[in-house]
Amino acid sequence: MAGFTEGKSGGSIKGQGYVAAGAQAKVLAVHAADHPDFRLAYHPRRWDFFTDSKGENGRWLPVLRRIALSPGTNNIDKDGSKSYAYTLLREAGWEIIEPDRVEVQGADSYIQVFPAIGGLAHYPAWTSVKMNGGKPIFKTDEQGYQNWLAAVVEELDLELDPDVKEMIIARIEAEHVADLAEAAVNLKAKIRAEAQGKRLDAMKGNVPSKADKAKAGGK
Amino acid sequence: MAGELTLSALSDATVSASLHQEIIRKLGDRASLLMHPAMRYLGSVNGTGSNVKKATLWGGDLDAMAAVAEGSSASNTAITNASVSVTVARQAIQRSVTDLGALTWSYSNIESLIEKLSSDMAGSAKRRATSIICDIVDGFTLTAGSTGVDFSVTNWFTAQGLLQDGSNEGPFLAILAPEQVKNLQASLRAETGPLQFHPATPELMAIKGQGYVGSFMGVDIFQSSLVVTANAGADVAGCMMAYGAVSWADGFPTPLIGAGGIKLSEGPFYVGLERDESGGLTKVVGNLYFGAAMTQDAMGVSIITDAP
Repeated sequence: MAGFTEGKSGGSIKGQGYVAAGAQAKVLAVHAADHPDFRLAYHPRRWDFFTDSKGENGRWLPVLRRIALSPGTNNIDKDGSKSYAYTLLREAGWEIIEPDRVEVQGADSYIQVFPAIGGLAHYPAWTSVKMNGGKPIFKTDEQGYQNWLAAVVEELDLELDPDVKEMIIARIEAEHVADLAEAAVNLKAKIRAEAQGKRLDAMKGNVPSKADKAKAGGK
Repeated sequence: MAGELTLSALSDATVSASLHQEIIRKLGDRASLLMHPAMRYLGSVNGTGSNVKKATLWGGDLDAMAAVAEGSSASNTAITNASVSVTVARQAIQRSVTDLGALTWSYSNIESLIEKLSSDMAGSAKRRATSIICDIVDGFTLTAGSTGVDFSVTNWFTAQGLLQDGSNEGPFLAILAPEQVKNLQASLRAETGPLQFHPATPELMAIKGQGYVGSFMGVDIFQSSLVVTANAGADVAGCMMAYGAVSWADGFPTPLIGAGGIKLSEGPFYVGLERDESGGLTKVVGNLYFGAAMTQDAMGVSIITDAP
């Protein structure tokens, strides 16, 4: 089923017609209702340490949440109105980032759409899709997304709270210790502990937050 | 010798394929969180004057007494309370069937095409509700797991610990993407000692519904391919939550007397039938009036880990 926007012109829902399967498909073999329009939102407590595919060049960046703009989801209203939903989200500390708020390289916004079963499927701009044997293969330009996140931090003047950073590091350290304790008898725990140890060193050692920079400048 | 009666020669007396008299279900994710006991039901909006259902979160008993010196007066303490709102909206799916399609349906001895399409709409409704719930549970501010790193049993304990830190009482439910379930199972293979994953049995699946894959450390695990991605698709965002962390509400239209329609028994869905005699068409429209929202942020932990 799809969220039905009440009262909008052209709001009659279409019948679910036959969609050609196989290599000749003209639409993505995904349901549009499962990929509604969305907005990204920032919360000051949701940060993580992002690295490249080799686990290097790490930096602290926010972990954004996807707000589905689908009637019935998180107080999006019957006519698609977002105002009540946005009010509640802001009261809870979320900041909504509109699609064109921060420039996305090579695109107008951070949302792209594909024809899919039952309408348009919405994906982030960094997702590429190719059809292979009638099935979609999705890939993400992770570096491109991380670069955009860095631009968001700069543009929106976001700052990783040092206490939040400490909490996240403490959580990872606790996991690291737990894996180290198992390492002697559990090879997977040993491998996790080694990787986590390097990650922790990088998390503690580099890319200071603005607060850290300010403290360093104040010495 | 010429003139043998081969299959080709009997072409006027044969068919190219015959239809097996059993419909086999196409492979797909039919897991459902609709009406799962972990979701708090706030009630129906029928007759309430609004499509928004609101529930009070009362914290009056959380404020402890304080010592008051002899002869002094106590002062007022404000009550900490909050509320959760759920907005109900229409979810729908429509199919149109021509008379020719319906009358030539070859499974009529089992059920008519109209009946088949109508009953299938229960699945469509459940899928929609599950999709809405999965769109919510990626948004808890507490998180476990790390971007780009596979989910592991260590992350599992972190998530469980965070819930317990927040004074959440069990039972808990984990809603995980297939990749996360796979990573957890792989991580558990190497574990020794009393840790045990209890896989789903057919009897348990019948009780807990499709999507239930087992339990670990007393936490039920629900797997769904509708769990959303995070970080532009680089990660997936499941969750572990206490019962009641997500609330839902519904509404049910009162069927018109004389209008065709079917109330499905599996939940709050209604399938209406609309006849277009001129076009020889029957429209089958499934309706679900449903909404869901996060009840309390501290009742859940979003688990954000590497996507496949």
